[in-house]
Amino acid sequence: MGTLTRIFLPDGQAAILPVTPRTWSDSGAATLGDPLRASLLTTDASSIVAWHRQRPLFHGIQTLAQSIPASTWTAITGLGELTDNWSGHSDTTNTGRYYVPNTVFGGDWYLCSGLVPWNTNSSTDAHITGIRVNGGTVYEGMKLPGGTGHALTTSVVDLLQLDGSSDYVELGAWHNEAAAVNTVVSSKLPSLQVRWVCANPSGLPTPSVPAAPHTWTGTDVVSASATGSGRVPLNTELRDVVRWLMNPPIVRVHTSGTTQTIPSGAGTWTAITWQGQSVDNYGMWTSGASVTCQRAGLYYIAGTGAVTETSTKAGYRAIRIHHAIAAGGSADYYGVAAMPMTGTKTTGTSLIADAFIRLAVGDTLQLQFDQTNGSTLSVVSSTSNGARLIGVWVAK
Amino acid sequence: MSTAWPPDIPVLAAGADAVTALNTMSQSLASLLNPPIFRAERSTALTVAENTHQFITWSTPTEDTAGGWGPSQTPAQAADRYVAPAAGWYHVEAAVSLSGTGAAGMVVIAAVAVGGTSPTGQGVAGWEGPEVFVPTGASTQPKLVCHGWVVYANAGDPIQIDLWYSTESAITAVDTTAGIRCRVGIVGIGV
Repeated sequence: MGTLTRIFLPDGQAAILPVTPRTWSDSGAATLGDPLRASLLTTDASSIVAWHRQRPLFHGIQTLAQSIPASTWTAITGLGELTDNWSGHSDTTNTGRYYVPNTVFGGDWYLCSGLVPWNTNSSTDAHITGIRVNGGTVYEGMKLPGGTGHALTTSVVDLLQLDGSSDYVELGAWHNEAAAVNTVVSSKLPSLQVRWVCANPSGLPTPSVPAAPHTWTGTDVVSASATGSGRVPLNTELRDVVRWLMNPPIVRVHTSGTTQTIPSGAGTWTAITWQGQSVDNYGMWTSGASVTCQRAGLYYIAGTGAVTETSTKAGYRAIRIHHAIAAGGSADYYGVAAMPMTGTKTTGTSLIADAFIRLAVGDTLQLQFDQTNGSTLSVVSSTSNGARLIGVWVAK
Repeated sequence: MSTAWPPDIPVLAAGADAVTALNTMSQSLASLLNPPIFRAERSTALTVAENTHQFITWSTPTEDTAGGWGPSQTPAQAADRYVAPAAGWYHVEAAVSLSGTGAAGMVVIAAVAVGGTSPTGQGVAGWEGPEVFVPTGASTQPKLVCHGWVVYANAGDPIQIDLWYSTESAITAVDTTAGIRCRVGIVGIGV
């Protein structure tokens, strides 16, 4: 499991990470209020800054080409660390694995992404990049064919819940060519990136977006929750800000257990309908194709659109994120557009769209697919290798 | 102490001035809520060349909270870059697109460069992103590739988005259609 590398605060003490903030109490007729002690402030304020300055982050790259066998999910091994600030990777044992840090919340959420460059010219076969968890479930990314004269590089991005007591992730590769295919490590390399974005939200408060923190003056009275008469509540200025930073809005909706078809037609954009949520701590989705912003801010949004293919294929495939603005208007963020496989295999096509999008409360997002096959294509329905949409709040 | 990025870890020592200590805390928390943000598109015509690595030049940014866009620097720099305001890690998302009639077998690559070179230090700048066989038809067919990277930059390093596409077509322009434009988003995520 990931080692909890210690961070030391400026006063030399080890930070208690991550932070479950203190709820301060005001004095009452029969109770003493909490004293304003430097140690209590340090535990929350200093520790939260220390954690968020260096959230767990791993970036590993492969520098020796690897043979990927046909039709078998294979972990990319021999990763060299560009960064591994919480020491979750080993250079000598299971070198393709990243173990996430063990936190008090047990089951934090991580943004995982990767690239696999393929040494292939096959246009009749599929090549997939994925994130594999604990050697089992693979969360698939782009699924594309190669072609004549050029290499192919496919990518993956997903939001995954990982428990630091045991969980690890690997960058995975799969293809269905007849023979093994090597990864490319000259000029471009297989790459895995994993970073912490949210504590396990189960049971955690979901505050409003913090206001601009107070500028303190000599006439302010520090309170717990009381306001008025110059009182500035620490439960608002400190506790709720910490709560927000540890549990910002995140969402992952996915398809499962149903069949949706995408009609053929240039510019005929069809929204993918979601059937379930892996995480939705601020209630952005209830049903249907849209997720609705509940807390304003800048979000990182990424969608994977996966469809099966017919034996005879034509046209192109494209994906986009559609942003409907509550105040009026809309914007689109196109993703990868690609040609489908040639030949008769029906393995499918998966595309990715991602963008930083500023959302206001009430704004909605959809993941939309467009194809010109001449016949309908079916959306892949699965929590792991099907279509899904993820979102992470990143800034005010 | 200030709200600059990245925030310093506040020192809250017993016996120190309480107002100073509390403002230190507030400023650091404000910094965490407001990391550097840069978002821009290419909204006007841009001539590009096949079989060539080229950085996308950005139109006036949608957001540039730390004033990192090239023309905002003193002295002004090229509009194809975001100058990292502080040393640290940045989440970069970008899309590159072409306009025109494609051709069979054409690939497009989106990549990021830091300090003009590979962000990994192992690859070659301009190649480390998705490489995709894009649609080959008329200009109404989108020809776009996108990806997100986490990169490290020193203060002052330019972060740039590289477009490369192969020689099959006669395309010489990016797509400036709303939604299909080249775009970039950069957010500071830590040290």
